Amino acid sequence: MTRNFSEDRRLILRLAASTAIIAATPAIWAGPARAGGGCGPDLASRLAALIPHADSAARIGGRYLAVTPAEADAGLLVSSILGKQEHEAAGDAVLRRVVGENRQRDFIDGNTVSVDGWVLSRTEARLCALVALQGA
Amino acid sequence: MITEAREVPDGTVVEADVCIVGAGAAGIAMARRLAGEDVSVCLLESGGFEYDEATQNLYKGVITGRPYHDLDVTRLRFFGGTTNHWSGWCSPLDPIDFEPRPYLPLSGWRIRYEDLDGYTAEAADICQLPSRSFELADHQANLPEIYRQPLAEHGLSARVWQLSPPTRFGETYGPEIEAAERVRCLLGANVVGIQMQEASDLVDHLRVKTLAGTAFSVKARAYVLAAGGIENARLLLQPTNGRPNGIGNGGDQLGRYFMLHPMVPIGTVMAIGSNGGLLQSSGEDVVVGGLGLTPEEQLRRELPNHVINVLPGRPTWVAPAAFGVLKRRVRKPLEDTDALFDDVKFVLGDLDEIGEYAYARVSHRLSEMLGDGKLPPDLYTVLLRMEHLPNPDSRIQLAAERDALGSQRAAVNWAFSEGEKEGIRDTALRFGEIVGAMSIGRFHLTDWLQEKTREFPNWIDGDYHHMGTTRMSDSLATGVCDWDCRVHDARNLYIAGSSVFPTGGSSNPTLSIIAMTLRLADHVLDDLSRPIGVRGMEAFDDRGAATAVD
Repeated sequence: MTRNFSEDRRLILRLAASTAIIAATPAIWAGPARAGGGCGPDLASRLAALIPHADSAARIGGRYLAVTPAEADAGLLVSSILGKQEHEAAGDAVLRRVVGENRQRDFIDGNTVSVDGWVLSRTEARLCALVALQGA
Repeated sequence: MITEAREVPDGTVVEADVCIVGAGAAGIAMARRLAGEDVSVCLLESGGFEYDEATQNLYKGVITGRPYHDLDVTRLRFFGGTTNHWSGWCSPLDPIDFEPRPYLPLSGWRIRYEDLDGYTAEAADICQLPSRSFELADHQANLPEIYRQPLAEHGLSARVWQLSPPTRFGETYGPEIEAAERVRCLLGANVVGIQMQEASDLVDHLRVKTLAGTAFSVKARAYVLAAGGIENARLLLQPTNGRPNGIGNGGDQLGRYFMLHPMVPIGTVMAIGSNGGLLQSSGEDVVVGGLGLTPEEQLRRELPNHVINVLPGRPTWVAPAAFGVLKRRVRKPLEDTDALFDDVKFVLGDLDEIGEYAYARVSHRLSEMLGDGKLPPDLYTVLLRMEHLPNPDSRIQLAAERDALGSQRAAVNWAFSEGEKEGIRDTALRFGEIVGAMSIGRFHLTDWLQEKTREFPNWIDGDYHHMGTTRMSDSLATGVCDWDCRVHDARNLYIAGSSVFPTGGSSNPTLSIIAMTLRLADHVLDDLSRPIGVRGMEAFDDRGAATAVD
């Protein structure tokens, strides 16, 4: 079932310019990203690099993290995006395929989120969150 | 034969086998059907052949609930009735509309979808539709590409509307009525009272007045009210001999459950996926498609049978003129899709969901690909036509004000039920998920549904589909008439029209009104063939089949 994250507009407004906010709070956002939460930081970077429009992704991801602060952890996001399967050695094409499959599965299963009204798959929202963390 | 009621001498008793009140879609369909039988018919029409301000004024009423249109603009009171401004959209009710759904109080008809099959086909002819079939397979060629997809795999079902020319029943069928030897249509005849036989459950006669000041009565063996979803209730609510609360109101159900088919904006589709072009219409205007959740999805998610229409272009919302305070919205986009719009588009593009369609858009090559210089839109407005839930507080009552003939006007309290907004939101979000699953693009939920309040904004508009106010039911405790549309406590009084619908689905009602009227005509003829004492003595078994009671 979709969660509507736009209800907490006050919080979102505080984070409206998410990249700027993120940049201003490196201790909160960057720490977990650097730590990687148990996965290689390289994998997080490679996943984030799937979206060259990093600013766009960061704005979406910032809004997502604003209401799901518990997910502001790169390692957690990576494992959530890819599942438990080992992907350290996978090439970018494989990562892209896995992300695509998981996104599709999300929509079918109703595992979606509403970010400012946009109904997004949980996987793509988390990928955007990862980009937001990477850019911090 | 069609004549003027004012030519009937004052105090006359006009006699007929069947008296029909109202010459709109239902009344004319009923009269045509009976015209071929061995019965005499008196068809009473309030208006003449043309619109008349004084007659139309009889429709005026009072709005006591949420904002709604002035009542005299929602119907037309002259020969042909509201078909004189009908848009012509025709679609039968869905099978699930007839089914009891445990999560929807008062749902379930004791009539099955199949019971109306033959009548619906006949109604399609009466409405001059291109086809009797509403099967998707018979219309796919005239619908957007999405209707050729395996929709059920994604939890979607399709609905087909056929567009009537539209048939103006007065113009189209007036000559038949005029030529019918045993049909006497009186124009300018306004029913102001239903007189019961003393200590009886039979109507004795109708009291009729004209705006010219004359009065007469009509005495028949059977009476059919076909005056519209508000007027049927208003006529029955008028106090009469021995029935101070009206006829069919022993359970205080008369006038309640007033339903419409509000069409509400629910969001926007940004088409960008590899199937982004699926929504683009392919063209013919005689057929329109709609999308809904499959019955299985509805039951699993406990949702009403809403239907969704997708229109090309950015959503705007034209506030009804009646709601002048909201006029500023007219010029504004309905929702702020600009927020994150480019961001979502770019991210999806980066993730390779972008397909040939969207790539061509981005690179401005699509017009070359299509060769016609026209770009299909990348934004589609998504509208939802509600299955409005029966709510006892949504009702018609009698106002203190009286019309020019002395009858109390209608007071309308239109209300939504608790949980209706949530049902719309849940349907919209599931639709949004399916848009993603089908790689069409992404769905943006409209602002008013993002708000977590349970109230509907005042600018949500009701349409003119008045339903439910004289609902069919097992007894007076839950409704007004039985499943043959015979008023529970008046065995020679019947009701035609969508006022008998216990639930309204989300299909435009005219086709079903006519189908139900044709079915009612058979019941009336059957009743007339039997002694009065055994009319209306059927019971219904668990499956809804009528069984005679000894």
